[in-house]
Amino acid sequence: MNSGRDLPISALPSSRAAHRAAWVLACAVFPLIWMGGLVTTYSAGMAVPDWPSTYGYNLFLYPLASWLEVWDVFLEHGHRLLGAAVGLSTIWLAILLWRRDSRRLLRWLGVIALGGVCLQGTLGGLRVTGSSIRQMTIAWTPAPLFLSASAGLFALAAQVVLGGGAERRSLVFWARSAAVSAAFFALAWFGVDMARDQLFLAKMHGSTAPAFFALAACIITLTSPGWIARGPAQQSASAGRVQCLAVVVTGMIYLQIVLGVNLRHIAPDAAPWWFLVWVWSHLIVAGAAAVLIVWQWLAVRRWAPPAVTRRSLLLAGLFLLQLVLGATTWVTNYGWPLWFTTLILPVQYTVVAEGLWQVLSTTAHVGVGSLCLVVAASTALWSRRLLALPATAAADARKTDAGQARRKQRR
Amino acid sequence: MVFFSAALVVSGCGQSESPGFRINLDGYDPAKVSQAQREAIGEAMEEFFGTPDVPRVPQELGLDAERIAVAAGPVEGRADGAQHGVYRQHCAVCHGISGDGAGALATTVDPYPRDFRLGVFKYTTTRAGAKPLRSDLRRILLRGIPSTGMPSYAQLTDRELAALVEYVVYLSIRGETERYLVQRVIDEGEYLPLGADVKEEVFDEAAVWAAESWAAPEQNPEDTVVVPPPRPEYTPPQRAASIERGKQLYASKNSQCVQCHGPKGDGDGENDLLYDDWNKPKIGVTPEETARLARLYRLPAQKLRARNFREGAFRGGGNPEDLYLRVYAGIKGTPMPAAGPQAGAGGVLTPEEIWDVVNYVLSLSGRY
Ligand code: HEC
Ligand code: HEC
Repeated sequence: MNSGRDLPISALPSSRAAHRAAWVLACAVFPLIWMGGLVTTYSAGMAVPDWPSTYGYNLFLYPLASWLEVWDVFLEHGHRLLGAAVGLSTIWLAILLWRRDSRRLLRWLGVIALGGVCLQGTLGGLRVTGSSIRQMTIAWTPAPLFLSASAGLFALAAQVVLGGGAERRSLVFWARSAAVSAAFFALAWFGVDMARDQLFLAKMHGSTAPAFFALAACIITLTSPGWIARGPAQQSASAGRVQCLAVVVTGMIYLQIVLGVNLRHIAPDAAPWWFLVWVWSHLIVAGAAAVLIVWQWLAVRRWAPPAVTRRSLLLAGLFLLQLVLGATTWVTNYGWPLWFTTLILPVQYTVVAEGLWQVLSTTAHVGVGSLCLVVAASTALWSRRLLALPATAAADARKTDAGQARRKQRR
Repeated sequence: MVFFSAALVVSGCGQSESPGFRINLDGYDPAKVSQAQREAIGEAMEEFFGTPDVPRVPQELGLDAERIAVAAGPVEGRADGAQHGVYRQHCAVCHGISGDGAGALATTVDPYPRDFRLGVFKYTTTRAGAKPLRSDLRRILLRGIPSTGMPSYAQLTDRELAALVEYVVYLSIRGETERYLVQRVIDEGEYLPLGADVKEEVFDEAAVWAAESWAAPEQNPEDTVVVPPPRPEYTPPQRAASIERGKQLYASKNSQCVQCHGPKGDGDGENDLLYDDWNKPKIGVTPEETARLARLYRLPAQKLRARNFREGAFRGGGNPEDLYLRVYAGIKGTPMPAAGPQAGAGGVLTPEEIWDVVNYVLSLSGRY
């Protein structure tokens, strides 16, 4: 992550363009997440039953009038269009990073983003078409076996054809080929199995989105001029703890998002205690994350550079908002809990399914949740960049100098 | 990345295959029900009513097959905006695929979502013991049930509402039939596999009977539907007098209201061990028996509270006419008794007295 540090500024080609492309990407992903939240809230995901086409039309050629006519179709088709835009800007970003950024980490982050967007699109598509895969496996039970066996055999054949003549006789070659084929078999098996379960796909789709958003935000940070310009890190004995805390907070928030995804996509016939498990873990992690976030802010408040303190404060504020949204989401979906109305305040409320407040708070809870993740990740990166332990800082500097010297020599 | 893979694993839990109707063995020791018995019950039920994805709607039951087709099956949109599978989309998380009121969210709400399989509904315009009108169910869907988990579905189209109402009736008739079949097979030890004649008998005695009881209030409303007489127009002194009379009636031995609702209407009467018909069977005479029974049901026993009028939330509707109906016909499936005159018998309260009590209750709730 600090490979940027190893390079002198002159060696870094301007990744301004990549920086801007990353901003465009993140700015497209954020509304996409809101829109995805709306699609789930309105159960509009199945409003367009085919994919990648829309009612037989090419995604971009679906008539405007039909798109705007029905709310559910508007949401689902709009989600796909925006998703396509995100896909295109990811490709653009990956190209820019690959061609213009000399840091290996960033070049590969671009590739990972590209893979992520493909995965996410496929998950979304399978989520819609998965029912036909399920129909197929119901109609013909050996279908998964057949498909995965074909994948395995195909992989084996490809390796034999591509493998060199001499190499083909070695035991290592066959062992490796067998392993790769087995991996393909397992992957296909897992894929087909997954595609049969729409809820699982929905959960994956919902968990990937915030991770992708965070990745885009990390690329923004890593390509930003402030990151590349090698400023001195502020030294403090508590730097290590702060850095570690920031990573833990990011992880916790992501875990929290996954728990939330599971709450949202509960199978209707799941045993009722499953839902309680999700609810309680969501509450417990929320409490723990809140404590850690406040702690993080208190830990950096007095001395750290503003890039870190401001982000920690923003995170605390967003998290508070998120807690309020979480409570509102509960009340607008399930009503006031009995303990509240009997012990605290006898308020009365009638839940309105897909009512304005329910839709707003639920979707905002999804959107602000992913924003919390992004801010937490960026805090973690910046505290990594701008803070240093006194001792390590010195060692670090020495390493950097040595690296530069070596590079110069090579040239 | 580590978290991401953890997410993968976590999300894999609780996977769902194509859902089926869950056999109703409530109150039976699962260990004492043989596999053959389960299969016989499942087969007969599927023969009568089909599956959640492909429901069968026997003609004799007077159900609207088209509407049921809209409500049943997996969630699916059509280009014209017509939604299919609306029951699974909106209701199944609470009321369960089988309408057993034990969907995934069940234990998070108090009271539990309605178990349709008993064929009992609380907030109706019909007399005690009678089935609701379809318009009663529709009103519940439009208004929701305040202060409970039951949402208002006012934003759905008429077509969707009608489909949902019909599907609730279908699940309810199905549930009553299954209950009867389970008793025949398990308690009476019917020979297995079930013969065609036995199945036919079960169908006639349970399904057709239940369908007739649903049809009765629609066909002859004079006998079953309660129509509140117009509420008198009160001058302010008359109103005060009515409330005062209502207060006396409320506190009287005859009406028993105080016993459950408490002297001030706070819902804290002496009689505070109340259970509705869905939870009563889970309560044994001794604690040991209750503990034994707990294992035979999907949801733990849940106590019922008499309403606290001061909260001002009336679940069957807060209009004077709604409350008249509640006091007149009671709340079905709960200990809340019917105070109005019933077929043949004069009730505890006359219609005029019911208006007085309603006025008193409204005054307690601050609505009057
Ligand atoms: C969030 C959970 C939840 C959802 C979703 C839900 N219900 Fe309910 N429903 C309840 C609860 C809780 C009750 C019982 C309230 C009570 O006993 O006072 C109930 C009661 C009912 C009743 C019984 C009313 C009566 O008079 O007894 C009907 C009918 C009903 N629901 C139909 C539906 C239908 C149809 C849907 C889907 C469109 C639906 N519900 C969705 C929670 C839910
Ligand atoms: C045996 C106990 C019992 C008695 C006696 C009783 N109630 Fe109730 N009452 C209940 C219970 C329990 C409920 C709540 C039912 C529920 O929520 O499912 C209730 C609910 C109500 C409601 C609320 C209806 C709504 O729509 O929310 C009113 C009004 C009411 N009772 C009035 C009365 C009056 C008036 C009397 C006397 C004539 C009376 N009750 C006698 C137990 C009782």
